[in-house]
Amino acid sequence: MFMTKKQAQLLLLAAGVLMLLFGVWRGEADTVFSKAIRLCMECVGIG
Amino acid sequence: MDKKKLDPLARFRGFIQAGATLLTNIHLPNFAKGTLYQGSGKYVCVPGLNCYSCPGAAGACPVGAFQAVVGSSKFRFSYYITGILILFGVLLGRFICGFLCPFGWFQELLHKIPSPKFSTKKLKPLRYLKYAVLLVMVVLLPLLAVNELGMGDPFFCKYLCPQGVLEGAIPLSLTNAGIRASLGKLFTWKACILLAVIVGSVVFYRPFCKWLCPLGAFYALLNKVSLFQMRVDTHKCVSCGACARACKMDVDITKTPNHAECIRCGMCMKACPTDAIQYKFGLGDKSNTEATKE
Amino acid sequence: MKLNRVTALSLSLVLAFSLAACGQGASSASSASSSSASSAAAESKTEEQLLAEENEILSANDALWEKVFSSMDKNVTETTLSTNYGDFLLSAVEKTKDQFSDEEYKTLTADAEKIRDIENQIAALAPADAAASSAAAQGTAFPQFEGSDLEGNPVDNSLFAGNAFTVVNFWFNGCKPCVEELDDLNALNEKVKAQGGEVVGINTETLDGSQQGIEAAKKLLAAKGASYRNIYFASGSEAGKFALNIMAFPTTYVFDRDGNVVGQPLLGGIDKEENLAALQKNIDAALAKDSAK
Repeated sequence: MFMTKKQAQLLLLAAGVLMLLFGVWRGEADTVFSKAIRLCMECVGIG
Repeated sequence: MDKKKLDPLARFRGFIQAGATLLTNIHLPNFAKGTLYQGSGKYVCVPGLNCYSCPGAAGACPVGAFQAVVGSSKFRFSYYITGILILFGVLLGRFICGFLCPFGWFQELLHKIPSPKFSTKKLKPLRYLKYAVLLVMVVLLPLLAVNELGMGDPFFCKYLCPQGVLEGAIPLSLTNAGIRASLGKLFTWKACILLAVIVGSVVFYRPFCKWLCPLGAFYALLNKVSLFQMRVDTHKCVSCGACARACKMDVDITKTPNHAECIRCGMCMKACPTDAIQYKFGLGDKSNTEATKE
Repeated sequence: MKLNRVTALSLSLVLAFSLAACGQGASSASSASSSSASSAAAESKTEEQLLAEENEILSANDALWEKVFSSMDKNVTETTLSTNYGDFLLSAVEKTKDQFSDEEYKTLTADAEKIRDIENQIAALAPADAAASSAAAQGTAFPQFEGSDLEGNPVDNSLFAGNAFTVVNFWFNGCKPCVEELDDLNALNEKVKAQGGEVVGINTETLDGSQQGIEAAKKLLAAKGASYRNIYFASGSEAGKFALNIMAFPTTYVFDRDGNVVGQPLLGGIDKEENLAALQKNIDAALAKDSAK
């Protein structure tokens, strides 16, 4: 195997943190927030 | 003697599930008021499947939030939610399904209702359905089926997710006449799905988790590398097979201790006569004792 | 074991409830509306009784009152309508005092005072009707506001008085069903112009004149060919609170000339036929109310 489990874990943790930060940086959190504070009618099955 | 040595996590799992469900939906007065929590908790998503249109919800639903970002005209992929889910998955894996997910707990409680119970061992191929749900309904359709402005629908939420009806539509329509008035065909369809999942959960153990849940599918992909893992002490194991018989997720833990379907519920630990199975948390592979590793 | 039984029982209850919820929608909605209707009927009945009492008082001394009425100023102005009818009669009696004997004058004032008391009772019965501000607090009228449209022209409550009815659509930029009905709302605006109606949009992301929100909203409106007015105001104002209290989007209200809500606000886009029909019902009710005035 070219990578141990430990290396894979560390790599994924780093990737997770970087993706999270990149997403916040480009404003995704605001989109999530604006969707989450209002009733998503199609989500709950209304209409 | 088993009970004394049983890991407290496994012993108090029911209480942890109840506590996690309560914490995820902590804004209880909103149920009576028929309103949603609108504070900054909604910037972040919770680990389990929990509708953000639930009056009590403390945070966003990870699956709903992912689709909302992908389906918005501004973005085509959500690095933010994917990043959070990778962190959850690598740290805890499907421990989240077994301990923290409100909808998982709901299905487990339903399974306690006395009735004939059926094994899902012969239905194993259905497990792969949830990966298709993840890929098609959560990622591809919200990305590709868009209007001229680049806005897509949250297909999983809209057409499949029973949690939205259970936590959103039902409590809100009880207190809000306007919402009651607008319940239509879509509600009927999704209420039927919820009903099917409820009936299914009485006779099968966690059918939604096993076959349909896209969040479970994502965590399943990371279960093999999660820091929270199962360890089988091969010195203590007497190969009696009690663990495999006790497993309601149809996993043989002695062969595959970090199987994608293992939700870390600890039923195998309870069944093991020699206490050979344990929870471990840390980097690297902890699935076997040092001696058995090459 | 006993605990298991209890959980099982409570779970079967939950199950039964969720089953019942399937068919509950329509029936519970109708029962709610009928109960509110009956309570309203109970209120108006007592109001009717009180009004009947007033008429009895007046008819008991019919001849005397006829004299008062005939010499009264026929100009019924806004202020006379809003003052207590008893006070109004008292002042009328006072003005025509010299036409009556002392005895007659006493009867008339006593009658007028009785009517004033009854009027006060009626006013206490329906405080929501009496004060527009309390109606706004209950969410049944649009609050006083000062704002502007997306082009920067000032707008305030006179908006409502200028129209026989006003359709107000609440939306936000990230809401797909909201954006998809913008062209239908524009078509509706063109259609209702002839009836003296207007469609107005309120985008909750443009409140406080948020430049980012306004730009995005303008783009969406242009893309959908919508040219009707969209307005905003301060989010901290009463109107702002009204808008931010709305949870489900899109929500479409119909307001009458006085800014009062007509019917039940509509949840969902009018690009769906049944929703458009529900909105049309509210519009028809508003039109009927306006022509009855």
